[in-house]
Amino acid sequence: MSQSTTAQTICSDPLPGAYRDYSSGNIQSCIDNLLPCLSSIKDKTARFEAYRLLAISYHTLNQENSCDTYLRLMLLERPEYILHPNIETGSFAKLLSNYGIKPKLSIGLHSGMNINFVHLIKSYSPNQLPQLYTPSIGYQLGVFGTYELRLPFYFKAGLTLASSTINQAFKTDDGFQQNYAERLQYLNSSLGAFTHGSISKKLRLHGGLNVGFSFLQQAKVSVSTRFANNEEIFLYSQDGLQYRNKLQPNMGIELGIDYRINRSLISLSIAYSHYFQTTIDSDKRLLDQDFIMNTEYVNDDLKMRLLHFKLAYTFALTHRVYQASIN
Amino acid sequence: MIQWKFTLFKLAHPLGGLLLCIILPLSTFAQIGDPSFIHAQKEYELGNFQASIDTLLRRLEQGDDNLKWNTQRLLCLNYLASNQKENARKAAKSMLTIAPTYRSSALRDPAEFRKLLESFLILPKWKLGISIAPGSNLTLPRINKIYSNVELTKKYTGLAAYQFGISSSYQMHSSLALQFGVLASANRYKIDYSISGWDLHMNESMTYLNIPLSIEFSPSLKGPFLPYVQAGAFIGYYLYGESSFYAKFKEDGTEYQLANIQSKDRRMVFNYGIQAAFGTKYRKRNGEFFVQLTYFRSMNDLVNSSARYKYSELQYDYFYIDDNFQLDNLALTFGYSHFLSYKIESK
Repeated sequence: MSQSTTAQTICSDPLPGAYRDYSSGNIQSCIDNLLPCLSSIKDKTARFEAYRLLAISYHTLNQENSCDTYLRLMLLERPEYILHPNIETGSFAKLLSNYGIKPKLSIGLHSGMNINFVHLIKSYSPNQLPQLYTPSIGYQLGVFGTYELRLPFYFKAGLTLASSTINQAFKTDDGFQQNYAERLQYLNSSLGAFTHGSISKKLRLHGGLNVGFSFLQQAKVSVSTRFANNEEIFLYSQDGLQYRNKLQPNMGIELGIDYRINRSLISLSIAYSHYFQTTIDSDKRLLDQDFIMNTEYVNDDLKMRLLHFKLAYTFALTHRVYQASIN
Repeated sequence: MIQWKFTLFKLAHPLGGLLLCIILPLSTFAQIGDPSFIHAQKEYELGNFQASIDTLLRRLEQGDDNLKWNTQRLLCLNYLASNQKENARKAAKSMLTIAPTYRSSALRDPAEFRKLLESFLILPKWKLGISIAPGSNLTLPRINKIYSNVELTKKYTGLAAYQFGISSSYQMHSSLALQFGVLASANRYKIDYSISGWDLHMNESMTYLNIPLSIEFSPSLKGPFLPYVQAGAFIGYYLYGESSFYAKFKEDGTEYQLANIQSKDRRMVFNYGIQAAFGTKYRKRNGEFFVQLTYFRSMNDLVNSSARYKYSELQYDYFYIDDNFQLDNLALTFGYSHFLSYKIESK
């Protein structure tokens, strides 16, 4: 009982005593008094100091394996730490300069807008009219996780809720005028491989490729038509989901710039996604006869080509300490 | 091989200061890299404060940020020891400007130095954050003039929708900040009306991209929870919108509808107005969480009057003509802001 009480008392605040031992040159005593109390140190700042004191003590005693252990623990405890040799001891500074730390597993959130540059593959206009699809703005919001390898490559998996639009408007000389608007909402899951390179201590560039699958959730169609020699405008709407290809595979490329703040990254990026499937299910193109008769519009073969502008925030959950000589 | 590097002291984690507070007193055994710094440190320990100060003053702008703030720290200690209080204050402020999240340590820092650091206010200068109103953005329609081809009463009801976006702020003063951002704001409302045996409904959803600009006032209080108020203006750009119309003849139950018709040409492209908000922040070391209630008051009619009578189908089948209305919003948002940089002020 009394021994555990004594141990408790010694370990209640071990750092000042350990520091005094080190200051007076009793390095081994510093280690012997601090090591048993490590598990009792709950405060993060104090724990970092303890790891650092042990690392520098072992280094002073030339016990490099133990030094390596506590040096790594020190860097994992405080990933933002970086050593500048001007301040640390000469040999310890040199030792630390061989180490680096990078995020291993991170999570993030992104939002932004997209522009849909619709690609007309084939027109099915019953009137043989030229189809003019204009770029249209949508939005997206998503979450993602990244896993970084030892090399500056990382995998990124994400889930994004997005909305894109398809717009078409044209008129003919005889007065036929039509506005077609389709709003698509989908959930996109993606997996990508990226690399990055530093341009300064806080800034880095990133780039990569990804593949994804979009699961269409909504396809709302709205058509307004003014027929030739008729002043009246007819409105027609359709819930187009049942006539669409609901699974849309896509592939993309992304480039961006990251700004590092402590354990976080704020990123601005531009990305392009190319969709491989037409929006319309060709087997169901002519199923809604009412829609075709009322609007004189038959769904064309369209593929989406999206340009994304994203702002993302990434937070590192775990880190990896490495030695530069290995890399 | 491109190496990932972290900046410790520029990002100013207080631990950096604590670590260096360990190192400085250990200099009797340790070799410190920068010869001038070593020399200045030894002079300080020997009590030759002026010699230490002279050495440090010759190399103030040399080295990286880490060395610079440690230089300022040692300079401050020298000034305190030699009773040069004004110079000590300047050195402390310079140190905090480079390392704003430095936390003093009772183990390592003299009491006078700690007291001097506590006399400064460290405020975030630039912040960047995100905010979300997940279904807590309530639309409040205001009708200015009713248009109808028959006599009827329309009942407008505001509905809840989402709002999300990014925000940034610049701290102009300890209590005043300039706030701006980009928000996607969804407005939803419905109209119920009836006429001659017909039950009619219309609902509309419009999304605007709003750019708010406001001044924030936050009284200087202690404690992690900080209340604040904001006042400003916003301008919104119409992204997209849809209207749906429903009609039911009560006598025989005949129903028809026109769903999800794009309403872009019937609406004004720009929406502008004023806004006011109050909220509270929970400040951590490098960022803050906030919850805020904002009232957006639109100052212009959202109806494009030139398209009011464009669609005869709406007038004759649904007895609908756009009224002149404005849409206000009451949004409860949650968010997080990260501190990008800091400013130092005296308390």
